[in-house]
Amino acid sequence: MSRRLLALCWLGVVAVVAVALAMGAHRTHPASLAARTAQVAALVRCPVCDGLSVEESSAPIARALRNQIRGELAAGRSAAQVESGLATRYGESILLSPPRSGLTLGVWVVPLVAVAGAVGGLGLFFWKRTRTLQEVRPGVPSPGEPT
Amino acid sequence: MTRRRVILIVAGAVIAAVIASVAIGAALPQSTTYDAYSPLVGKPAPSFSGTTLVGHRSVSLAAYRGRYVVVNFFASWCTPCEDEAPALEQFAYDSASIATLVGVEFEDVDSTAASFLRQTGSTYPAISDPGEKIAMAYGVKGPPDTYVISPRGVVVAHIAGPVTERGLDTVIAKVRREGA
Repeated sequence: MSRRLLALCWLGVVAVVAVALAMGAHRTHPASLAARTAQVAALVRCPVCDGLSVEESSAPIARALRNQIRGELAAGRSAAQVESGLATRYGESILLSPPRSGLTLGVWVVPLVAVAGAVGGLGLFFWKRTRTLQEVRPGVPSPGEPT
Repeated sequence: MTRRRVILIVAGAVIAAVIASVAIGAALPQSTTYDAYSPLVGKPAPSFSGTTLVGHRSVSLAAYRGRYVVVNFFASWCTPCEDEAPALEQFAYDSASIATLVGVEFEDVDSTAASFLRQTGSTYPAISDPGEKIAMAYGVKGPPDTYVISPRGVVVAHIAGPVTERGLDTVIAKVRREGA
């Protein structure tokens, strides 16, 4: 297989993946009302259970909340509107996934910053260590330098 | 002392500590927060109406406009609800001139809740909540849960846990001082 043909194949694969991702991102109505209800209910904490979602719990209040979610979705409200409606009565703690705004934004940002800091710190550590080794043993190649 | 023996003693101590803390936690009475968080505080109280569990009379929140209304969510299976029942009955009697107490059953069977009310000697109106609609409107996370509504129909306090008559009096006096 020539290099040009191989490149064309790769280009085709990339194009198919890109189109699939774009279609997935723009799909606004997942399968059915039942599936959408289950999706939202899985993100709502059962108020009377320990660590269970409304979808998982069989408590009467969880059942009632599932019915309410279903009714609101059927009435044309979006998942975000249903979740925000619940939060106005129960508080943000009713949501198993904290909102990506205000103070709770920190819940999402802090882990990312921590991971970035850890990776940066490790990189710095190894870079310094390599430099120290180079100073002690001049023959040790620096990162990126051909051996 | 051998290393193995030390490990056994430490493990035994940890297990004993865990069992003791669980036992103490279960034995302690449920604590009460008289200024518990609720997004409803400061907002208009969700309206509701229902039928009393004993006597089958119609009750509507709107009918109590102009008075303080204490809405208490309870259940027959809830031990702290049983504990607070005498205090609620006393409060309903002593504060009848300014406040009305309304009970709302939570996750219960009507007949069982009615028996609970008779057993505890509760005479204030307590209504059923088919489909947990009132509980969902108030964002109830478990009984006992109590909301105080001002004469203007605004939620002015949320109390999580069993109440005492003195505690309720203090809350009402505070919101009256604040002009609510």
